[in-house]
Amino acid sequence: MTTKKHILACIDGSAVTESVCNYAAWYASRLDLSVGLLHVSDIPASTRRDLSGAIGVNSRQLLLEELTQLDETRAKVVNSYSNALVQDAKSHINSDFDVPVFVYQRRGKLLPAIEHFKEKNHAIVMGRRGEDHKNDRINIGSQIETVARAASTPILICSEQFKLPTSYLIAFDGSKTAIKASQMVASSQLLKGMQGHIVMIGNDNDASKKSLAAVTEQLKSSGFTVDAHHLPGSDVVEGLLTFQTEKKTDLIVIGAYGHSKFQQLFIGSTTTQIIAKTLSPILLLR
Amino acid sequence: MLNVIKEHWLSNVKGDVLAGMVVALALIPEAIAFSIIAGVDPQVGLYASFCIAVVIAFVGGRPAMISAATGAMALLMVTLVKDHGLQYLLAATVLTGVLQVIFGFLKLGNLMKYVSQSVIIGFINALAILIFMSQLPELMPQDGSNLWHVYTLVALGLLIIYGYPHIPKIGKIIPSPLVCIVLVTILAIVFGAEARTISDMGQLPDTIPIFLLPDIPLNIDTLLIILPYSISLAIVGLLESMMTMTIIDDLTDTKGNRNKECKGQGIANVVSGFFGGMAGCAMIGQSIINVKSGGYTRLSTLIAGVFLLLMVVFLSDWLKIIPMAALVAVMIMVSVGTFNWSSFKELKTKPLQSNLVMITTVAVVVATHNLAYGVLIGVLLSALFFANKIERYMSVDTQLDESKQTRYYRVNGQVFFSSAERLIESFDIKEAIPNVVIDVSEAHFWDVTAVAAIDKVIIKFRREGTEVELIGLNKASQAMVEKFGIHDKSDADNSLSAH
Repeated sequence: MTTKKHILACIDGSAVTESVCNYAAWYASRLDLSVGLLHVSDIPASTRRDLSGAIGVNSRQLLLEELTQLDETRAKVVNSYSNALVQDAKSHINSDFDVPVFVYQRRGKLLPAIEHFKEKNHAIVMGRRGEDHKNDRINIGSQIETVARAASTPILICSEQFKLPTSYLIAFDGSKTAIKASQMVASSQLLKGMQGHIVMIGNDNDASKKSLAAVTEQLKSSGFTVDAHHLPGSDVVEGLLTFQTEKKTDLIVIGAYGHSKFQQLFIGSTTTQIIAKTLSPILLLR
Repeated sequence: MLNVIKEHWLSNVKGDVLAGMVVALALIPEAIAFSIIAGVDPQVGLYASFCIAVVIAFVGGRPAMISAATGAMALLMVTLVKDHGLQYLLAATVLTGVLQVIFGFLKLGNLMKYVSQSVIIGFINALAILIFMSQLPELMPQDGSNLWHVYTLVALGLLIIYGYPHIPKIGKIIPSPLVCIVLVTILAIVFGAEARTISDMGQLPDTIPIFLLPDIPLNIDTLLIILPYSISLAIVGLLESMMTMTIIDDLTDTKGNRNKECKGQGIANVVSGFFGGMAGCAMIGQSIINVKSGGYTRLSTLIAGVFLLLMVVFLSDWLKIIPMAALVAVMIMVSVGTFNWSSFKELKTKPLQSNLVMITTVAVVVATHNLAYGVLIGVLLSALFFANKIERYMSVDTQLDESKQTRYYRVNGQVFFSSAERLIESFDIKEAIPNVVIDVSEAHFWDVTAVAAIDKVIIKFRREGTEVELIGLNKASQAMVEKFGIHDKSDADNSLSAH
């Protein structure tokens, strides 16, 4: 059991937690894997305010003692919250899905915690926005991009409500990243049997058309039900999202972050824009 | 990138600004006092503290750690300043920084793991003793000061420093060293005390520091003069910085980056040298004050440096009238706060060897006034004690099988340079017996001396006409024996006679 891979569900107690659990369980049951429920509590060390500026006998030991006690008290509260959260999530998954669930609780930041399980992660499931952004108008959580850049596994970004996926849309632009992403879909059982659409917006050149056809052929020969769509238009993001709304696809599949971070500072990333503008769940493939 | 800036600079703005200001107030008397120890004008220490604190805020490897001009470094400069003057000190400061950057790239920060806890405690205690001793000249008879006036002011200062924080409410808002300095200065003036003031000690800055190349001849003689000082300064600076880092790591329950800190200290010292400041390093006492006051990120270090300079430039006329006695009181507080008092209690509970290491470190430092020597001796002593302990984990059992006319030797434990001799003596070479089996499956051969020892034993047996069989070499030992062993090579007998 220890070598078997899991789908890592990153939960944090925000509104999206239930949906994260459902999508992770769905993902795991499609591939016959287990779910790893991860809750990370970041407890910044306690500070105190004593501006007397004096250091007396053994002040270092006394200060260490005092800070340790403060941290201990706070950590205990956080721990019991974390325990309750993961137990809830676990019983929620167990009542709806028949997949093994393992619980992991770690401290610190999310990214190091995810990397701690690097060997076991098959995919990562996260909410669109975390606990820190409850009331933000921004539609994308601060952690998603950081995690998406660092992780080498697929990442499923959930919508707030769970809907059992029956159709999907592959965003295609003829780039290497997009071809790689389509090949990953073809080699996995995850989306097999569902209605697929592979969509390219603009890109009116022979090379792109050829690779669209090649990729579609490859998917079909692997036994996927998929239609290719080549739509005119210049705004990729807008075009994709219109298509998604019309066809009511349940999942957008996209190759993650083709541009380097440096390039992105100037030209922005289609991926980030799509994540920000849609409410549909997104599968980021790396 | 933005996240890093947010976390390292802006996650605790209010606490950091307040703590930085407290630290700046505490840094001023220290920077002046350390300049006086080194034998330079107070402005050299103040410029150094400003430059180092500001630069390290950006390039250091440990947020919330305070670096500035320090006593440990000042003590190393005394003879350089006395014999060659300030310009050579500035050049030595730049060279110190360059060396520290090189140490950083060589990842020498990792060498800290060889410095045991006893050595660290010894270092800290020695540092406290040195800071205290450096204040003693002020308590000796001097021209223009009445000894009893000085003693009264110092005693009063200490009373304020330790008593003031216990006053409810205001006790924890205003730094007590500042209260001490202000009150003692007022009292000294009102009662016309005959005591020396800072203006007697040299020039105070009235401008912000400017970039200057040290005015020295650029030749090999200069290098030979400053290099020994720079090496000592670089090592002591990094040692104190690494130790402070460990302390702040513990207090804040986070981990700093050692090699980054080495490079950062180097850059800070280069800048300090070019802007007319002396070499410095991280400060144990100030860093504790920073954390205690609620400082948590790089911002507090930056504020400490900037606020220090602002205060000094705008208040230099007021700084001049501060009596030295007030500074002595502050420095005694720093010394008491730095000393690890529980190490007295622990003398009874800790093993004798740890105590010896700690006390030797202290003794060497107090005798040489150079913390680097103390740490070196301390580390060597710990290593020797360790070797001595491990050496005992070596034993040889023996058994005689009369029917096969064979004696079995069984070697257990660690075989290395210090246990090798005992290994040789454990074999009875003179016993007349045709066969000997040496089983080393439970032993580990660590070095060439160990391999040479087992070679020697085998060759000696063979010269007595005894057949020797060596069995059970584990893999690591085998690699060692194959590389250096000679008994299984044909000229074994010749090579032994050459010994």
